[in-house]
Amino acid sequence: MDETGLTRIVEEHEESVYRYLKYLGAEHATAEDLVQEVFLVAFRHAQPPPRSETRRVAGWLRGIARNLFLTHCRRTKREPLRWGEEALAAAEATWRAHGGDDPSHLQRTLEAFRACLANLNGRNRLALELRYVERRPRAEIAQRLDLGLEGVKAMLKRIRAALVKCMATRRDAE
Amino acid sequence: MSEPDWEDRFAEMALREVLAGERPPSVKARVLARIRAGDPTRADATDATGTAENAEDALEEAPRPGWTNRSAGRRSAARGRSLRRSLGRARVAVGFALAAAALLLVAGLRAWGPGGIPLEGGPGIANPGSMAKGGVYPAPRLLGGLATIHDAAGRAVAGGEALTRGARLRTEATGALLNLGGYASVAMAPESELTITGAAEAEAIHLDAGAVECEVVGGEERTFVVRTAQGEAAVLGTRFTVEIQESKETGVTIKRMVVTVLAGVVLTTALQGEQALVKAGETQVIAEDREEEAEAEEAEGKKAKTPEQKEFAAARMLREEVRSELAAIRERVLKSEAVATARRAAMGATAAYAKALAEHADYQEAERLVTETHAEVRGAWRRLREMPREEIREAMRDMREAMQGKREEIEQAVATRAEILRTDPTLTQLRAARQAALAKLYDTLQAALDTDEAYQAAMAQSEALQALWNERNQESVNAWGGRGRRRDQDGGGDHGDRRGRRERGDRGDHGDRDEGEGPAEGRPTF
Repeated sequence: MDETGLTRIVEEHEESVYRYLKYLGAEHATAEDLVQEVFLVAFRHAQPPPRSETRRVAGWLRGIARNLFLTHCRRTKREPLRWGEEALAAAEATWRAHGGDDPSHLQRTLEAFRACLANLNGRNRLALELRYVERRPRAEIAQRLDLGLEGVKAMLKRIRAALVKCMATRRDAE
Repeated sequence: MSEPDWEDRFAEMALREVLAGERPPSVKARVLARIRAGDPTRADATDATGTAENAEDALEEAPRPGWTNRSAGRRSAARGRSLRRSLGRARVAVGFALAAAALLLVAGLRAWGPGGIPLEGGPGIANPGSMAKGGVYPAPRLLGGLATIHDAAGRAVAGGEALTRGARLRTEATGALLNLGGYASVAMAPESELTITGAAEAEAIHLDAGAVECEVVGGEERTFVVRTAQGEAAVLGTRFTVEIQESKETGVTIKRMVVTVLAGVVLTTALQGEQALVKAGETQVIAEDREEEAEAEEAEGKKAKTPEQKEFAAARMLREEVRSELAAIRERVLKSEAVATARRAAMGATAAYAKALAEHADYQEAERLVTETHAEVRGAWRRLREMPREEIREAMRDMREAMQGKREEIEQAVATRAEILRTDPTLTQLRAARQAALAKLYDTLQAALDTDEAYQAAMAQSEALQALWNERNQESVNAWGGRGRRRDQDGGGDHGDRRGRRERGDRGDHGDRDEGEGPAEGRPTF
């Protein structure tokens, strides 16, 4: 692969590779570093898939990203140290189901997610803002919402599940 | 381990992007810059491109991101700490430590050498002759590896690009390779932190945490200094490592600056002003508290229970004796007429240069400004690290604003300082005289030691003991490598690894393990 080819692949896939790493559980800084590594590895690969085959390229880059991330986790002793084949297959299936195979499809999915989020209000909205915008500790969120720690955890998980469901419905409707 | 809820993770990813502002970065420029700079990421990338079906196998072979990793760094550092503690520490005033310690240090520290660069070659300088031959003086540059970088104003900047002086680099899981002025190459170990200080032809770094391995192409006009809170190491043309070690064996955190010279000669200066010339193969430790270290060593010796531990403890005692003997011989040799004369001349030349710098008002003003501002930035970063996570963002914003105004001031001061060093005829002359005097001291001292029979005999004893350490170290590494592989096969996970570290830890149980004969290939690759 030459520099021009790499440039195009980076432009097309850098966002989805970053998102995939975040999806696997990488922190922002780690994902940012690993994205670079993914493309450096890709650049040196002897036989990359043809650039025109977007899905194949995306899958190939995901494989590199996944291996780099798992290696990173294992070396830094962070979860997950390893995943079984079933977990990896489930991760792949969910990612594909949400359009992760195709950068433009993934973009549409995220737009649907934004739209669902915009419709959220009340305590649910407050909980998300405290958690993701203000980055308050869970204990503080619990205090603000008059819940226990586990209650906050369950509430956030429930909201996220509802958002994913809404996102899928909205995206499929479009 | 319970399987992740992938739907939930997808939502988490989306929320972090949409609400928390963690947007995908644009990495194109950084990737291209790293490729053009010859990024050390392993070239044979094929193994990293495994699919989900063979991810477990590919995991073993996935390329290291250019450098070794945090855990490997910890492992090597822990091994180094244990062995170094066993080997004892050199006293600052003595000036020379055993080559044995140096060799082990090298063995320990080399583990984090850059993946794409031969370890035997050290950090390596791609093109040392490229420096400023009638052209533009090269800016500091991150050549490879991963580092979080903040410029002098505290703003995060991209790796693979030219850096400004005052930039602060921090490595996490992987190391990084830095080039300064085209003649100094600095390999940062994982979990290290440094600030680029210095000036053109007078490159310098301030190491706050971790370790660096430096390679410097000498030249009369070029200097390179590594400063730490404990002291500094100034070089003329050499390769050496500097590590900040922390230990808590007596309940008190003790920091030491450990300088290991791999080639050439280094002049170390403790904060108290004590200086020592360290030659290739030697280690110099600038410690904060010798008494507590000695107590820790003694306590460690008392723990010997197994035959292996007793052997190790006895060897340590013998080594202490040999070390004392060597120190006494050096003291004697240093007092011999020829060496004493050379030493006086070297100290005189060093003092004269320091005095000239101290009396140079413009230089001092520039130096004060640079030093104070760096201290201010370091302090701010320390405070940031201690803050609750939720307050960091706001504090960083404040810090960025506070530092913005100082940036030009620092750059100007650094440039002024460099200009003074380059153009002031008195300073240039004194620096050359200092270099010549130190080189003569080195030659004289080395010649005296080479012809001293008692010294040669003591060195032979030292080498014999060193062989024991090497053997033990190799056994330990092999056994450790064996455990690592078996753990992977068994899916042992985190618990297994922690157990491995304890076995290998500082309690003196060196090598007395009944499991996991190591692989024949010896040292594991990181």
